[in-house]
Amino acid sequence: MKLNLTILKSKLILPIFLTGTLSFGQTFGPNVTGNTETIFQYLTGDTLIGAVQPESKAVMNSYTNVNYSLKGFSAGARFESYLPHTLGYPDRYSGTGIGYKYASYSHSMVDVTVGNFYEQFGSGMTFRSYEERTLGLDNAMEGFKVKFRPTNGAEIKAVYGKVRYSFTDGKLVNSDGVVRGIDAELNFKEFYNLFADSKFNLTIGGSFVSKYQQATHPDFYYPSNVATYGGRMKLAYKDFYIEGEHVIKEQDPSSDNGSIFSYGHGTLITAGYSQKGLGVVLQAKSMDNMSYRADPGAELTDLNINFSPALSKTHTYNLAATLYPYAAQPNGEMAFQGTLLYKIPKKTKLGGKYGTNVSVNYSLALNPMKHYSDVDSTQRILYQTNVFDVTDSVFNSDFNIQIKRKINKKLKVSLMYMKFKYNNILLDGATDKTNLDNGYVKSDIFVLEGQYKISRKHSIRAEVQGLFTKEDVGNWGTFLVEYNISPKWFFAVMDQYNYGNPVEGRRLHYLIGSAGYLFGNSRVMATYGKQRAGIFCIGGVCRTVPATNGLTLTFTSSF
Amino acid sequence: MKKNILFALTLVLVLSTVSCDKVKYPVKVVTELDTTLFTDGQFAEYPWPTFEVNTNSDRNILLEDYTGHKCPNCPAAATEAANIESANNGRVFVASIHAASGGSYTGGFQSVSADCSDPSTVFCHDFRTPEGEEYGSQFSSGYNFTFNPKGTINRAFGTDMFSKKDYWAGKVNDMLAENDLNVNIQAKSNYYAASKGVYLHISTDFLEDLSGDYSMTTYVIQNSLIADQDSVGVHLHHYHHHNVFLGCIDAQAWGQSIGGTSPTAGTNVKTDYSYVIPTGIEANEIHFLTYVYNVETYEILQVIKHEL
Repeated sequence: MKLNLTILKSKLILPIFLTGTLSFGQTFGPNVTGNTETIFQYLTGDTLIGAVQPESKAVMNSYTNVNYSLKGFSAGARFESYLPHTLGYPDRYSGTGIGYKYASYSHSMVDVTVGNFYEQFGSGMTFRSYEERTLGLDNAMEGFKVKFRPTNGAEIKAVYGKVRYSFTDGKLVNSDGVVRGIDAELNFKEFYNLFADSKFNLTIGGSFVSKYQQATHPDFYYPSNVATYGGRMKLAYKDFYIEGEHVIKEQDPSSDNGSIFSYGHGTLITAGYSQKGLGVVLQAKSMDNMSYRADPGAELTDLNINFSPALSKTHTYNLAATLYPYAAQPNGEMAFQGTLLYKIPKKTKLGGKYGTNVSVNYSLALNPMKHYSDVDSTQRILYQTNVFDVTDSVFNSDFNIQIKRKINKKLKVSLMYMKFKYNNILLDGATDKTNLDNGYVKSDIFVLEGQYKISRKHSIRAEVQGLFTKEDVGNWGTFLVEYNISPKWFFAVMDQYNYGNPVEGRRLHYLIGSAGYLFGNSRVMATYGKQRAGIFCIGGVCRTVPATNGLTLTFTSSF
Repeated sequence: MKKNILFALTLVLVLSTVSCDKVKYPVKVVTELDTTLFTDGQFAEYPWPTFEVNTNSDRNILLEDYTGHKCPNCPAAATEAANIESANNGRVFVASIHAASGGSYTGGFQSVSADCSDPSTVFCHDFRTPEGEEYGSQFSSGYNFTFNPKGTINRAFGTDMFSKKDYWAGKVNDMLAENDLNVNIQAKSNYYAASKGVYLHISTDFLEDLSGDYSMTTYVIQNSLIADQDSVGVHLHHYHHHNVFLGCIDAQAWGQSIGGTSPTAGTNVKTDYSYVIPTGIEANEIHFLTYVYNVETYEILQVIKHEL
């Protein structure tokens, strides 16, 4: 799974490139940068795991960013190819062309961008435009963006444009709807140095977003203009901080909410404390009816204007990451999360020679309480919810603890335990409750990881994972071994084995092997094996991925 | 700094102008009515009427005068109908239906001159209606509808449903005396001058257990108009036609079924119509006659008049 993380990191860097080159160009004059990523798959069918060979047998997604910058000016484009698209992407993705293009100018007070851009207001509950390529999610804006800094500590952002929907026959397809938004933030530490000599800091902000589309519905009068707005504040004192944001969405009937005309609301509160060797983060979220899309009929990950922050740990170990991942519920959830990071000091009895890192995390997501006493069906107000008014109906709970310790100069070990409670009916729509515990899948996961440095260039890393549950498809085990020859080569083999499946014939192995080679700023990796069908999530946003069987070649490079 | 603040305020102002819509009545009204005739806002705001308990105890009478503007004896029948109506104010209502037995036909009493491009041409006003022709055709055999003028009294009396004007008063008086009321009808309406649209709402109460099937029909009647008329061989250029049948409100000659088969006492049925008043006619120049009749015998059980 660490291999996948490496890939992920490289993908997350892409948007950073698009903006990062700006400041680079400012300093050093004319500059051209870019990067490319190509994913080629040759797939075969496998009836046991449900993998289907596409008609073309081979599929390919390719992305290349080229950026030019000179002083405050920059421009760039992303060339995309789906020939045809890799499995899991919507079928409307096809062809080769420019899927992202921009030109921008920046100086000390104003940044102006025309074309495509990504942006976020606050926590994203009113507006977040971003790309998560591995999810097939890209809601880039196409239009106009301006950032204005009238003075130190004050920034105003305004966006105006359409949302990316698809890439069909080599052409970018945007929403019919138009999105307009403005965000302002004031940091009092920098604003006229109000708290310059204080350990206290205050940041306040507010955002307003409106979408326009003449949407129609056979039974209801949909509003053409729908607004979302909110305010936020962050207080910091020494090592402690607390921040909160509250947003409101006005009438926005949609496929997501069953065409109700209630206002939506979202509240996110985060408090944290950190000092050397200790970090604590507590979060709470209350959200109802906050799905907000450029088209009220859009589904899945399409045409999102805003974002629902996930209050659950993003797991990286194979079984925890792929079997029962939790997706944030913008239509309604109350979620709480606490994380404790502590380093047991080195040269102590408990900490050992190098110290020991302990992390404990607990998250709980619940169904919000819906009140039906004041409903007004003529107004399509079918229920009422209040902030942090919650039921005891659990969507998901996740307790996990991880201990990492460096034993000696050559050996590092990690032990992790996770306990999941996952509502398979509410979240996955499961109708067959035969293998569920009152609708839930309850599982315990153990992971043991060891990394041994054989020599200066050679190292080996291994993971043993076990997921134990009486529900769903029973127990799983994963074994992974990875061999690195620094700095050029790496090899890995992983087997995911559903050894506890109640159906003996379904006790399948998902064996996958990979090898990679790095040269300069480039890397090529080959993977061969099986991947099970399931739900793939990043940051609480998920998509269904089909089973695959075959060869995957990935090439990434930057210049 | 002032410029900066001005710029910031401009940005805020631009965005604030594109805020949001508030839908007061989100649910589209499921109706066969023409909702566009309502011009005082969204149709969800339409002021639907409420009906009080109907305390009426009288059975009214519809006198259908089947006539024609080229029919020389028809003015006398029309006069008789008007006399009966005025003698029984509020109990007898007249509909002058320009139709012949078997429907209208070229060269008949209801025919219109072939070329009316010359303003001096006579008999150019076309009184004929598809519904009138439907009645003429339906009653051409077995109901004593032999010629114009003839009339019906609540379409009663079976094979003697149609009779000459000389018998109308006697039939009316007999029926009024009998006053056999089985069905009560109320009507309310709203008129919107901007669209010339009318919403007519009917509340029907079945007072007795009845057998058979029943339907409701609403006539649109023009109070009066001046046009040509033959009167015993004399051409009258400015004859006052009264209670001219313009057609049915929903263009359905036989109306719509009401109450189901064998409606029971206490059954209440609400019926709604939308209607656009024809060009050249004002709202105060028409009225509606709504009646309930037995589908098998055609006998009208009750009729009411409603003016806007």
